[in-house]
Amino acid sequence: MLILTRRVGESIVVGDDIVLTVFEVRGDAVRIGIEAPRSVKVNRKEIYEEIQRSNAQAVSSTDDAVDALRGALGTPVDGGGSSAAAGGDTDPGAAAAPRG
Amino acid sequence: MKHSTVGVSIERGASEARSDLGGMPRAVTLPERITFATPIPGFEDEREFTVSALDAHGVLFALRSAKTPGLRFVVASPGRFFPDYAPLLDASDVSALGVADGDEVLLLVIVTVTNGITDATANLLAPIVIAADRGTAQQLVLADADLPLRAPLLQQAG
Repeated sequence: MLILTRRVGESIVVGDDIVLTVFEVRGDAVRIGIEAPRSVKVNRKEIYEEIQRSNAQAVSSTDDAVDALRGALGTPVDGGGSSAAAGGDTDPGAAAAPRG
Repeated sequence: MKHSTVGVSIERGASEARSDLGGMPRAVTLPERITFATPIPGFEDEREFTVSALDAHGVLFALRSAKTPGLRFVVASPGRFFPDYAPLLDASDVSALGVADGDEVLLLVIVTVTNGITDATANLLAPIVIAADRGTAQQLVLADADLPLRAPLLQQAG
């Protein structure tokens, strides 16, 4: 890991178009300004990690629980999938019929 | 300001479907396949998904990996559960989708339901944004960090 010392008002350039600037240091908190192209996603690491965890949990949703949820919503299973709202051309192999 | 906003049409579409359940389901229209323009956090190798409706009202959908059998996200149109949830998207936030100024994008929230329906939650902090016309998608981390990552789904309903 590269470690640099910077003072308030000084910057670090990453690549050609990312600039990190130290704005304020107060106690153990540092305010950092980030200039980057909007296509570069900038996130607090702990939030990114939380989203990773949340996504990993989401894919473990069980078929039984999903079916129960559909039932609770009053949206009964449409076995044919023909009146599905998603364009009406739902892939029959992946349609609304519960699996397993 | 210098950035324009992208209209989020799914909210209105879902509301119409909800208020007219007996009638014609004129609800969300999603493409059959989507390609994630930027990786989903934690699923960097999964870009291609098929989209299928889980109900006839445009509320629940399954995003299934085209690559990994059994890998599925359940997503929901948020309007049914979170009527006040209408984050403003900046056009440049979703520039990876290739949308043009004024294009409509669809917003869906990832649902987690593992044990029972009472513990079902939705991720309001990082919704899935889909450019339906282009078949592109991304999971967007909203700047408003106060939004919950696990909002109870059914407490909010009705």
